[in-house]
Amino acid sequence: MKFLPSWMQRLASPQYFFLDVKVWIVWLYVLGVVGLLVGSIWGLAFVPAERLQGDSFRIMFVHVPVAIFAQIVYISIAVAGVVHLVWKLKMADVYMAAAAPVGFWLTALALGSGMIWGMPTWGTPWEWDARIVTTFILLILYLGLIVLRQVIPNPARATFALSILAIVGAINIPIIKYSVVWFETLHQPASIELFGEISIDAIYRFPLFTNIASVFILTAGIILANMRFETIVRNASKTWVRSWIQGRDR
Amino acid sequence: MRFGALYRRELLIEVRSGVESIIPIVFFIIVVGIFTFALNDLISDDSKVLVSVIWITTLFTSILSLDNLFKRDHADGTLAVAVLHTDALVAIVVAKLFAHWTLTGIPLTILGPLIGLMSGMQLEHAAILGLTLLIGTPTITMLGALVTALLVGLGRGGELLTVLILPMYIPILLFGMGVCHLNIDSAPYTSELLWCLALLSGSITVIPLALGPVLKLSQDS
Repeated sequence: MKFLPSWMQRLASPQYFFLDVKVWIVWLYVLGVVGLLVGSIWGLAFVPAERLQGDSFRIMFVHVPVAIFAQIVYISIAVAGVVHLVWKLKMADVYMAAAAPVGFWLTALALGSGMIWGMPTWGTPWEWDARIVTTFILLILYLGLIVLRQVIPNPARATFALSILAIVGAINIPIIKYSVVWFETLHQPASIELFGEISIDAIYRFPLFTNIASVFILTAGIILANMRFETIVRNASKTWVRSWIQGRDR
Repeated sequence: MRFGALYRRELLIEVRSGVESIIPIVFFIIVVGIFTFALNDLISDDSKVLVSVIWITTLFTSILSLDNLFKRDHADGTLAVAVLHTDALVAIVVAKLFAHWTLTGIPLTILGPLIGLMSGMQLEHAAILGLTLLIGTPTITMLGALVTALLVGLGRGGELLTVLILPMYIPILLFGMGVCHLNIDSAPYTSELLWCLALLSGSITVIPLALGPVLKLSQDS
């Protein structure tokens, strides 16, 4: 880990993480909320209706960003699992604990917004279709990560078990990503590829990309805030926490 | 310690425990039987239904049988001793999993196509079902054993195991069942079969190594 700059290495210590990150969270919240408002109002009010779907397509501006980060947060938890197993970083475990509920709600939002969109467009809110089922499985995976921590009383063992579960569960991510390509599904294939064609018209692209960026920023902010809470709960008996609380009271 | 001796020990313990060792197989036959009875018309029309029923019942059977995989050894302290043999731990774990697969995986691999043939499935379709089960059951045993090992000694299992294990089984289920469905539709299925093999080779190489540290940690709490 020596290749990282020193301000980053500082963050591996719970104390400095707790003190340094507070300012970031405020900025991430402000930036994320403003971006989300701009992108959503732009997408809802100033963009013309789609040729075939009419106005119902506008839920894309929520559904796509949320669904993308539902998967990315899981990948990041698996990476944190690897980091924990290799370098035994305390903050990797804190990250896993903080990110799992956020990922759960992102997945729930992706499923929920998809259901709302499906009602006028597909004529059904729920179909047992490959993409929907695999996303539902992602929800169960997040649930497993949350439940496993509550079930195992010994914290060292819980972290280890969570890392293993997160890494093994990551085999589902390619299945979710390519479910629209590999299987016959109702869900359309991806319109945005990281390296390739974007099959969305330029007018729709900008509000969509604004929202993707804002959901990323807001997710990062919420996870960091959760991590801050986790650090102070875990280090409640440390002297730096006591002195921080006393400094607050004064 | 020789691997053969370890394997023989596991098999003997299972077999000498009496009827208990064949309960998962009986469960499999009963569940598939009930489904064939309930979905009689559907199954005679389309053998895809029976293939799916057999695959899904295989998953449930494995969850049922995995619950006991480490329980007895943990209760009588054998696991604690095994964990102390750092060098032999992988061999002990592999012997255990291989014995478990011999007593549940192999019977299911034979019974699945047999039940298919009895219900009027074509010989080729039954053969491919057997092949996918032969690839799928070891993968299922490996993945299931890893998740079971996470919960050793917690006094939990059953329904919690179901929630944690079933998501892990989704890839092998989709590809294994996919091969059979494509074969019944007489479509090419090579890429799905290769995915099954990839999952099998990935799990049998990595999971025995990962199980050691997991079991070691289970002795701490």
